[in-house]
This record gives sequence, C-alpha cells and structure tokens, in this order.
Amino acid sequence: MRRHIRIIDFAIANLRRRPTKSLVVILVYSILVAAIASLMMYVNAVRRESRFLLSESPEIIVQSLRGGRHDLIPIARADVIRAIRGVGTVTPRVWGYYFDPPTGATLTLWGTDSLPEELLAFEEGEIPNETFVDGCAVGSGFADTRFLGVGDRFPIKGFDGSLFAPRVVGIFRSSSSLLTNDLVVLQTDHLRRVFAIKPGLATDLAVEVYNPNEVANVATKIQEEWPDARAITVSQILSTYDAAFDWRGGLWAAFLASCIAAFAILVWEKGTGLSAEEYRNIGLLKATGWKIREVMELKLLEGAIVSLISFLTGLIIAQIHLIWFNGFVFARVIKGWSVQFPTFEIAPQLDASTLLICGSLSVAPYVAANLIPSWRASITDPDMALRS
Amino acid sequence: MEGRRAGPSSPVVIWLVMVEAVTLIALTVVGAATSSEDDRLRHVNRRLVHDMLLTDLALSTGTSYCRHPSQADLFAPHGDHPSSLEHFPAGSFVAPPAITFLSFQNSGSSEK
Repeated sequence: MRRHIRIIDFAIANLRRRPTKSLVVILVYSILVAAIASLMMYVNAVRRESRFLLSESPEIIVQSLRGGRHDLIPIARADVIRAIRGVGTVTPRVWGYYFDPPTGATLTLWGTDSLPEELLAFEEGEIPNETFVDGCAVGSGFADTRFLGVGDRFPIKGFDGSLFAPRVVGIFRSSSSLLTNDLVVLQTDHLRRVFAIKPGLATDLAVEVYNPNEVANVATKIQEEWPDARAITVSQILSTYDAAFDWRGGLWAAFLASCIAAFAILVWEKGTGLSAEEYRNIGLLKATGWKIREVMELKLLEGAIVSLISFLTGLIIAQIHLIWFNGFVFARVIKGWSVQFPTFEIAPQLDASTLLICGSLSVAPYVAANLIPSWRASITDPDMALRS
Repeated sequence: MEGRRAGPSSPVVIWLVMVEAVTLIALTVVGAATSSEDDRLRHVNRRLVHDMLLTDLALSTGTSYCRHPSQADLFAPHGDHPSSLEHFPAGSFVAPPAITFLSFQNSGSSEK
C-alpha cells in the first residue's frame, strides 16, 4: 500500500513539474466534459419535460384528409366515435394559424368556450369567464413581441378582410410559455367567424379513451370507419418529440464528436511526442530498478489524476451552466429556430447514464492515448532511453 | 527524480478532489431542489394541456409543421409542392416523421 501511495505522490510531483502543460490539458479536458455533460443533461431535461406535459394530451386526435391535405372534419362524426366501446368524451377542436405581419410570427389561434381555472392565474388583470366572452388571452412571448398589455386591442384580419379586434383580457404566465408562448385564445364562435368555419365543422376531434391499452384499437376502428380519417395517438405525439430532440441533440453530438477526436489527437500527440526529459525519466526509473508494471502504474495514475480533476471540474461547469444559465449554449439549437422563443426553466438531473457516457467519451480516450505511448517507452532498453 | 516520501503534493490534490466532489454533490442537490420548486408550476402546465386539449410545445412559430409537428401531414416539409425544397430554418432541426423515410425506402426497393 505504501508503495502505491509513493507512486501516487511521484505522479503528482511529475504533473507539478510541468504546471502550464498540466493546467492547459485540465482546462481543455474540463471544457470537453462540460460540453458533453451539458448537452446530455439538457436534451434529457427537455425530453423529460415534453413527455411529462404531453402525456396529458388527448389519447387520439382525429383529422380529416382531403387530397392529401388536412381538411375540416364534420362534427357529426363525434357521435359515431363516441359509440365505440371504451371511448369517453369526443371534443371538437377549433384552431388554426394566423400570420401576424408586424412581428412576422405565425400565431396559433385557439378556440375555447371557457378558460380552465388554472389559466385564470394571469399576470395581469382579473379574468372571469364573463369578460373572456368578448376578449382574448395571449401568450406572454407574443404579448412582449407585440407590446400588448391587458386592455389593449389585438386586430385580427378575418377570411373576408374584415377586422376583428378583441380586447386582451389576460396574458398567460411566462411559466407556461413552453405551451402558450404564441397562443391567442378566443371564444370558439369568434374564431369560427375569423376563419369562416361553419358550425357543423371543426379543425379536428379530440378523443378520450379510458383504457390506454385500447388506444391503438380505437384508432384502427376510426380509420376503418372513414378512409379519409387520420388518427394521431398520444404515443405518436410523444415519439415525435423524442425524435425531434434526439435529432437536435444528435446535431450537437456530431459537432462534439469532432472535438473529442481533436482532443484524442492532442493527447496522442502529447503521448507519442514524449519529451527527451520524460523519455530519460522513464529510462532512469527502469535503471534504478522500477519494473515495467510500476512505470505503467505511474503513467496510469498521472492520467487518472488529470482525468478525475478535469471530470469533476467539467461536471461542475455543466451544472452551473444548466442551473443558473439555463443551458444558453445549446438552448437555441435544441429549441429550434423561431421568431418568438419560449423561455422555460429546465430541471437538469445528473444520473448514472450521464456519468457513464461522459466518462467513456472523455476519460477512456485520454487514459488510452496517454498509456500506450508510455508503454512503448517503458519497454525500451534503459541504456538507450538514457542516451536519447 | 530522487525517490520521495509522501510529500506535500498528495494532500493538496486530495483536498482539491474532495472539494470538487462536495461542490458537485451540492450542485446536484441544488438542481433537484430547484426542479421540485418548479413542480407546482409544471403540474399546472400539465393540467393546461389536459383541459385545453393541447398536443404540441410552442417551440417554433415559423410554419405549421414546426409549430405542431405531431399534427403535421406526413409530407409536411414538401406541402407546398411535392418536390419543393424545405426552406424554413426550423426545418433543419425538426425531423420529418420516420414513416416518410420508410415509405421512401419501401418504394425504392419495390422499384428494384
């Protein structure tokens, strides 16, 4: 044991003998670990958040397609769907898009007959459902972009060119901006008037299914009933977001892969280009009776000490980046491009898989790239090493 | 190169590693505490999705298939014209549904 402690001390002394070189390696190494850990934790946090929220989406959304395009669906179909065993409520949804020229943003206009209680906790103004009848509620992102406040009017150009200007009766809290950032919520009847949607039609139908195991069966029955129907299940919604965030995280990972490769090359170069002094040191150690195993242990410990310090420093930087700076380095790419970015807090979690993946992507290449050249030097004849 | 007894180097590094480990554990606890503070708001948001029948996150407002990827047509990126190039910046980051690739591959193999 004492022998190992002395080798550890000797390894630390070796690192301290080249302070600048060691510090530069630790700095670069830490930044690499921080980048990989931040990316993994950020993508996991966003994916977890989207799954948490969207698992409450309707079990099935039924759309009608015509000529391969999304068309309005007859509300009468709701009665037929409601008769399928296992189906609860079937609610027609009326919504659509509206391009707002001053901001250049495409807004989502959403129709509802009453605002749920949770929405009544607005930042400004009292929003009893009675005042909502002639007004609208807007997302905080859109309100900021358009400089809208409670009581202001928001002019909307209808399908026939006529202007409809509901008064803003409330602004959603910024804590819900991941869902409501660009939403403009109106009374369903007003929205029908703006979009010229007849009373018997809706944008789509939201279907509640009591048993989650029956969702696929109900979706199949709906599609068999109407060949033009498209049923989107909640599991498809969740997998769409998983795919989107994996795709975006993958883009960053591809970029980071080149950084990992560059780091491995740097370490390999450092290892293969052992300085004459280091080469002589190894020769001297062997000449004074050190075995190859002990020289290797020394080099392994040097690598392990640098790795441990860098790994911990990198993880600390990653946590600070995510907790206090909300992952601003990756946020833009993971969220995607937008005229209005939603702001939302992420909840990073440092778990075992993140530690293992970060370790295998950074520690393993570093130790390997450090060890192999040292082994080649340590099997050289001490006499040759000392004369080099 | 002289043989050294356990000198002043080891304790410094051991202390550094211990301080870093404690800092990391503290940050992990702070992160978990922050997220539990947000839990109430997250549950309100979840209720919002349920009550308003929402299906998508308001991430991108550029075009319909970026705003509501789960509701988009399978051919959404080429919706304006069957072979038109997708031109929205968000389209670089929102993948079309996997089924688009599958149907393309199937049609390719059947032609062979």
